[in-house]
Amino acid sequence: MDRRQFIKYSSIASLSLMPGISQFSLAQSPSKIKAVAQTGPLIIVFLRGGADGLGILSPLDDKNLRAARPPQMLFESTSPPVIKGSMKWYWHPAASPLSQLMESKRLVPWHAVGLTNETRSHFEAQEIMERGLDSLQMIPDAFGMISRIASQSPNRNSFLYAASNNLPRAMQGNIPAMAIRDLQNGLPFPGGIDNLKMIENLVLADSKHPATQNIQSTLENLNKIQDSLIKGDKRVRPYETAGQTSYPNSDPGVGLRSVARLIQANIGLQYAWVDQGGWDMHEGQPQRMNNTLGQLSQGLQAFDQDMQAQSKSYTLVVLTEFGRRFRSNNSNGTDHGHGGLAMIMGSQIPQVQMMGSWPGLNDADLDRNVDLAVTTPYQEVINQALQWGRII
Amino acid sequence: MAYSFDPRNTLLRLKYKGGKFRKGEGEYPDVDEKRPLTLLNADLPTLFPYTGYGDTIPNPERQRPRQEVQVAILMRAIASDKPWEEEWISFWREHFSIFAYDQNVGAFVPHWEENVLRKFAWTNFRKILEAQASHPAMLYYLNNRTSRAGSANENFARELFELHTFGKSAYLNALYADWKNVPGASVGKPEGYIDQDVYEAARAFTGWTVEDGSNLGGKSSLPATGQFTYLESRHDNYQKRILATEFSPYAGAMSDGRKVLDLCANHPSTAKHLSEKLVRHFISDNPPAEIVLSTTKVWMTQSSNPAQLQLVFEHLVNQASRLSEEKKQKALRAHRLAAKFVRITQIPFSLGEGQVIGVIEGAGLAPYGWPSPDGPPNTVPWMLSSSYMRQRFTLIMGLAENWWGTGEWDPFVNTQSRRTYFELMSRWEISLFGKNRPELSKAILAGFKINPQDVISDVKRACKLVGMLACAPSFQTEVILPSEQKYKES
Repeated sequence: MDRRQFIKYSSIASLSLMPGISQFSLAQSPSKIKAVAQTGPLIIVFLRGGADGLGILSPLDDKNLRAARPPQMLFESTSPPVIKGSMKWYWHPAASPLSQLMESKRLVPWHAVGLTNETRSHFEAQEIMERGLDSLQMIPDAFGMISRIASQSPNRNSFLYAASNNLPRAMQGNIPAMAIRDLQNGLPFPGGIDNLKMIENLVLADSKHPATQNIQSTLENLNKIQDSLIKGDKRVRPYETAGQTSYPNSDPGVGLRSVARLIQANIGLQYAWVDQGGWDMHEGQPQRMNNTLGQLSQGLQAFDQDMQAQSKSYTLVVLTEFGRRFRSNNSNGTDHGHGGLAMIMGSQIPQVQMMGSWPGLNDADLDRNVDLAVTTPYQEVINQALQWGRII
Repeated sequence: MAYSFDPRNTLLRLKYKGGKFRKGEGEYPDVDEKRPLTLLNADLPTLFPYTGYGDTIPNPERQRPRQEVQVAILMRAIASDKPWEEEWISFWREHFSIFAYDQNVGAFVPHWEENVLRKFAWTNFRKILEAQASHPAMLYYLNNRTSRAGSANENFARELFELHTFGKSAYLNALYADWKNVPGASVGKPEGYIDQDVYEAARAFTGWTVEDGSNLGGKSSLPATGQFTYLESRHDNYQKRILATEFSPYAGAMSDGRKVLDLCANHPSTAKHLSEKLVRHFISDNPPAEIVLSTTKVWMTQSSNPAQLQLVFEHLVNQASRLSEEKKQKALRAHRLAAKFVRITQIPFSLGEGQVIGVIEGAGLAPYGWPSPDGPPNTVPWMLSSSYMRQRFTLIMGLAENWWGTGEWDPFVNTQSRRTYFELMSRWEISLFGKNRPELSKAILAGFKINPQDVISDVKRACKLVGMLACAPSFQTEVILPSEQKYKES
């Protein structure tokens, strides 16, 4: 059994099969991320494909940027600029809800964030980040980043939830975890609860098969979530936001709505993960940025309003595996780059305009002369978010 | 029952409201019909308008090429007496993964399935590699279509190295552009690739594009046929250094790209990457190292054999036959799960109104449904995740109880006229699992508080019980490869 397989199985098997091993036994983890007691759950929104931070919050006054990208990749901002020292950054028009969140002290952007590792491969960068490491050369343990935080967590009895069809690498480990993208209509079982009970018995009877543990834990998860969503009249009703903005019926809105639903259900959710794909904009970037960024911004706005209206605390971090190439390509897009944009959102955000240190866009400032440099490792951003979200 | 697949007799519901074409040139009527599959062997000029080009195909119908292929994959899974052959095609479909829910890619999928996968999957890797690199589906998907000299689009070149050939363990990214320090570079045999190779390979593929009707400047345009073309005016003709190999300037049409494909196809890292992936796909989620090693060896020694891939497959059959059944259980993809149940229960399968296709999509990943180019994972924990498992049960129960008009079947076939529950279940245990599994039937019957010795005559009830039996974990996995003897007989 190779390492990854072992983890996958153990994540499922551990609780039922290895009672002697505490889920907290790996507390002296080598991770650079330190867990704290939080007032509300930590939610990671991961922008898959490498989001172009330079195109979301853009230093439009910089002559280097104007030289490196064609006019259609620049824009007129409709929001107040973000100012730090003599620098100004401008929100893309589709990000105006993010600007509003910032104005109301619910969001802080963080520039030039990423891996200290040089990789420009999606799959490697995601693997490193989701494991919470600096590189894959030295792999200290089998945990994903979130599982590792949860394993040293003072927030006991938590479980991990991913609003996607599959558990992300970041949540593999041996903490109870489940992955279901949309909880809007609950999780009715075909043929009803009687069938579910029957199949649970059947699965138990088939105990020697290699897929059995997996299916068994799946059924338990389904049961647990469905139970938590059932109201007095034994029905699951569609979730309705308590805020003004409705959740967009796309990623990451659907996932954020599912997270909100579990927060409302009060079943001890402490760590959640929501993916949004579509950020790998090698071509046709202007139009794709409008759509993808618009969906992200609206989803985050809807989530924050919903949480505020219900007086729920939370901490949310928006991450991506890397930023994109400073100079655009000839396909009206950008290739894989290095430094990216992160954002922290939550109910306890201090008044800060912009976090991080800006490396600059002169040739000598760029990483390998081609990309925005990384001045803050992504782990520091998560640590800061946890600190802001801690119980004071 | 002998199953067969004939596209002309396979009817898939097509239903949409009439509307106007975008340019206001004419209208299209309401459509509501069961239409046979007509696009599976279509040529590229026929499929190209399904991208939306020219606005000649009604918008609601533009998903049709993808849908027809997905139906064909299911129907072939049901009809085939040699399911491992279909699985071999599936491997290459997932290896050169493309996303057909993007209309620009989906339009070409029938042609891709026939002319890249089915045509070359049993030949030589170098052949299938060029077939996919020059196919419009891939050229659209990984954007090489718009790549041109000056600032080339790196998307395809990077995934060619990382996913299609070398694999990410051969990505020596710490060296970035320091090609001379890549081990082996001094003798022209670098052990891995670096970012500089990606940048330079992207230049090598500039000009590999699609006749998509786009403007070439002035009054000239490319024809709008959807076919591959090499466009000299977009190619970066100057010298390059890729994988420690010098590329001369002005080397001739397509020769830069072809040379990159040669270097990639014949590299030991490619052999290793593909062998590991093959053993994982066909034999075990935990590939035995010695089988990976011997497969790599066959891959390398047969690298110039026109039947290289066929020989690799036969090697896998041979190696797998030495392992016990338990050691080679692989989770069934959702369409395979449906096919297996249909064949065993002898459902006279029809698509009904097509809902079963939606259920299969929800129960796993539909073919061509994985958005990113790394292709879908296929390990047990992944395929039997919380999301999918519930839908897999739905799929089996729905087929068993004919929820979607897929066909009535006789659960009493090969039983005596007054059979007990015990006898009924024993008969189906053997069909479903290859041997008696009384503990499984016992769990179900006990749950329903049924006395196994009572007589059963209710067909619907029997169908339900057999469906439940097939929800056991043991039915969710299979051994993909045939025994050597079975393979020879076929």
